Amino acid sequence: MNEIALSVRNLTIEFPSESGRIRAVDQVNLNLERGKIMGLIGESGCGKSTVAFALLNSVPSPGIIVEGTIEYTGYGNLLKMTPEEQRLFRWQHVSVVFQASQNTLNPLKRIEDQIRELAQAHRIRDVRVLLERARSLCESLRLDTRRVLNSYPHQLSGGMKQRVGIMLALLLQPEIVLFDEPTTALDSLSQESVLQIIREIHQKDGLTGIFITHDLGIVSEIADTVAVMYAGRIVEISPTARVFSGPLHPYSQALLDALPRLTGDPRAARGLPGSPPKVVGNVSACLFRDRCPRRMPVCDLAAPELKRVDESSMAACFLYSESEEANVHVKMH
Amino acid sequence: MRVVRRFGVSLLMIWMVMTITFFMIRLMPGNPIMDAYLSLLQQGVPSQEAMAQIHVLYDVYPNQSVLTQYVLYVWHLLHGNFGTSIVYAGRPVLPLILASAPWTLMLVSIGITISFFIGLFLGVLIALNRNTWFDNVMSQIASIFHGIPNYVTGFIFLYFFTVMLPWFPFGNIYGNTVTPGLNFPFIASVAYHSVLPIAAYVFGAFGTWTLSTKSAAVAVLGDDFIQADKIRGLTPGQQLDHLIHNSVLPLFTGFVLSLGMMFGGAVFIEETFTIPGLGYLIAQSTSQRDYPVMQGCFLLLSSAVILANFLADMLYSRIDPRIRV
Amino acid sequence: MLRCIDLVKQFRLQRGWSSVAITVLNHVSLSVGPNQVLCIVGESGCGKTTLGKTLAGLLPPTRGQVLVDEESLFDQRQKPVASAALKVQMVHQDPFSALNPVHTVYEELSLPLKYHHLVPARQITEECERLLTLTGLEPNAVLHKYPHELSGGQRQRVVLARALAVRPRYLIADEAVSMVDVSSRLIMLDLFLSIAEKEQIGLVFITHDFGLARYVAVDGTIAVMYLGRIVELGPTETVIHQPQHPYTQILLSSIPPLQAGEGFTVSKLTPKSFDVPSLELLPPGCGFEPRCPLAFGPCRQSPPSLTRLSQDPSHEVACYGTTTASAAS
Repeated sequence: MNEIALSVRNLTIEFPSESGRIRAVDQVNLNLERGKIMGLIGESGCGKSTVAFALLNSVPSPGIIVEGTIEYTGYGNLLKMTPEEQRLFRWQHVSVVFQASQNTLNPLKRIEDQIRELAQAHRIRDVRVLLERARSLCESLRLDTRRVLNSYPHQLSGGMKQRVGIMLALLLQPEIVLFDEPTTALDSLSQESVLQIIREIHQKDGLTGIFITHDLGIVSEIADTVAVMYAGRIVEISPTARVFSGPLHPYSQALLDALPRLTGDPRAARGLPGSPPKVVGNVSACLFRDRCPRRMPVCDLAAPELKRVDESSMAACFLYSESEEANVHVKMH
Repeated sequence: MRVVRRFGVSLLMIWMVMTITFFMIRLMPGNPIMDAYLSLLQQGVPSQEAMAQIHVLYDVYPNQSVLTQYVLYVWHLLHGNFGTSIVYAGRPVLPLILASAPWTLMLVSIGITISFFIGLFLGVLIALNRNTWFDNVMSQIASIFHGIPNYVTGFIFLYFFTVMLPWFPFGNIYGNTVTPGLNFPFIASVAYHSVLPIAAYVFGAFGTWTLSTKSAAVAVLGDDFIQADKIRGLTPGQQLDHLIHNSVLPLFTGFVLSLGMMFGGAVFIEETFTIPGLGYLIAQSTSQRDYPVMQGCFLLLSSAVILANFLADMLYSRIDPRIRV
Repeated sequence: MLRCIDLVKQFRLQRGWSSVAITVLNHVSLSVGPNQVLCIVGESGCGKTTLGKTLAGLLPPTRGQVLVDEESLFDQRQKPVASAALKVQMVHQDPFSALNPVHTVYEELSLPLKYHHLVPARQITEECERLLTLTGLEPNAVLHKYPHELSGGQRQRVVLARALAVRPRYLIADEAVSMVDVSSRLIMLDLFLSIAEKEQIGLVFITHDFGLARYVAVDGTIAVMYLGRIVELGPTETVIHQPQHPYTQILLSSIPPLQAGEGFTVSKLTPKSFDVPSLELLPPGCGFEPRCPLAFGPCRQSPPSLTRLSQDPSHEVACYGTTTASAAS
């Protein structure tokens, strides 16, 4: 096993609401290996973006991290750092490529000035070095360097802004980059070019990252392993190839089945009826059971934990823990 | 090119507003020229002579049609002649206005600027502390002051600070012991006399600015780039700078327009504090049907507003790169 | 049959003193019959939404005709003809903005029924319930709810029910499932298909996703759009498995192989540029020429027109490369 770059333990995030504290993320555990890209996949509202923001301790208000540690190897638990330490840690060690980069750039400042601001914020004395790095990044991102640095955000096309977002994310040479649906707003061809760029950087510089998306197809292009989230929990972590050939969790299987293919029986694909539950308070049963084609009696009795199934995969499903199933039965009787 | 066209459109608008006010003023009930003419007739002056007297005094004949008056008015205007006052018989309008304008402009521009910056400060502060007790209390206060007309605040100030506690002088804009001019006692006296009217103006206006800044800042705070700024590790100062700069944009036009509007004077404040400003002049001339003075004041006001609008458009593209002329 | 003939749609853009005309639809001719499915596939900005709106009678064309069962959708003055326009209904992409937030589901559905006198007044509730049942909703659970009380999927179903209220013969669905969760998309599509079959409705499905296009239009037709023109038109399986236009090939080859499915092969072409030319500065020749890796002489002269392939007359392509090759073979 490779060196772990980031390790998340028992991460739980809640959003206060009228109907109680909604648990957006529940006991999430994951390890990110150095030099690997992990796909974090799930549908809207499953908590994948909240996890990403939590990794920077920037969960949007009113969300609160109620439990957990976010341990960056060599730097310790982010949540235990002082605010100023956290501020400097962000972007220098972990950065984000946002879903809608066009909206994440200050509309009133030219790109070059935004780079200067970053330098100032992160106490980089020699701005020229940073601008030089920005130029060489622009080149490898196939951006017209001079034009881009002199432009205001609105003067760039969607695909260009997304590439500027990647440039800014890589500027301070962070160890980890979080990609939050970076291609969702793009056309299929721009999407392809952005993925290709990320892949190149990943292969060349051994980029470590988490790629958050709802699109299983994109994950197959970019990720080494895939973590599948459902209703705030991780239900499976498997190598990408396995997720496409024979995923462990019935939900992963359902996502795969819902992907319409270009070959084979066109009607082989099928949707998954129902919708995920809103979680308030502690969970005492499997959250997927109402939509699960392989539901068992034990699924009503306890929430399955994410357990190692074999060398490469983990799943949170009683299908893979018969012994535990027996245990629950014993406890019940 | 666009600038020239916009300027041309502005001039056209000024002419249109001038024309409309000219006719609307003459639609108002009561006609001082006819009154003067009739009273001359009643005094037994022969009609020919009365007509001539009126013409000498007011530069119009009572039996002239409104259209002829209009053509004459425009003709005079093009020669820089704003006409002569009816009430202050024989006094030309322009010096009247020019004598009143400085007081108003001084009071109102200071008032607008102070209230704008107080509003900006409070609005951003409220937005940053949204849904806290500070937000609740301050927003309520701002709404209350937004709702209280400035003459009410003016009267309260007058009562408390000139009657109950005689800290400030009452009436006029400088004491009668100083000689107007560039001398210290005069300036000090003007400043002393201005405190209450400016305060009344500020208390009447800051609430509006606070509420609009708050809503602008709340909208900006919801923008992705503010969240991204935090994630990029920008300093709190840089984040605040981005917030303020982006929140000011939607207020900017309103600010410049209100600078144009100040040529309308602060009618009620000037009445309350008996300051001989433009508002006072407008109120007086309107109640006495002093057509040329009214017409002159309205022309000044509308030109100022239209030109301010033009200026706001031009300047806006300077502060917001997304709008380029 | 719903068809459009030689449709041209231009918009005027203000540019300082003057305005420029951009052509968003360029000589588009398509048709779809009752209980048939036509898929319009293209990237954003290709004109597919404008085409959808024109087919639905919401946007008058600059030139050309739209015929619904041989009745013209627009009169001489380019005003929609109500009787024909009712036969074509549109389901919008965003179920959040397509519903009036202060109307209950009942109000939303009963309005078209009352306005067009489609059912007697006392049967309105009954008809609303029928429409909701048809779209897979429980009438009692949603009838008196406001949009914000409904989930995204429920809202999309209400939008569909509202479109069905006037008993259309044709439905235009513009990216109708793009806001729906991936796992539920096919459920929505199944609903569209089953209603289309039950009511003998012709379906025009607009999407950017070939997978979804194949799912809804297996036995139907795919039209690939690029910069306002149809560049390839043919039976779904033919277009997907034997794409002829370089643009179609590039689009298909950009689909991740694991997603496309086992054994899917398409010659891998790389576009010369990822940036679509501006509609204001269209190239004089083929719109795809600046990006096309296979472009040659004629492509720079004039835009190619949609031509039937000699080996397969059901398959039409607008490309000098393929039509010359097919003529030579």
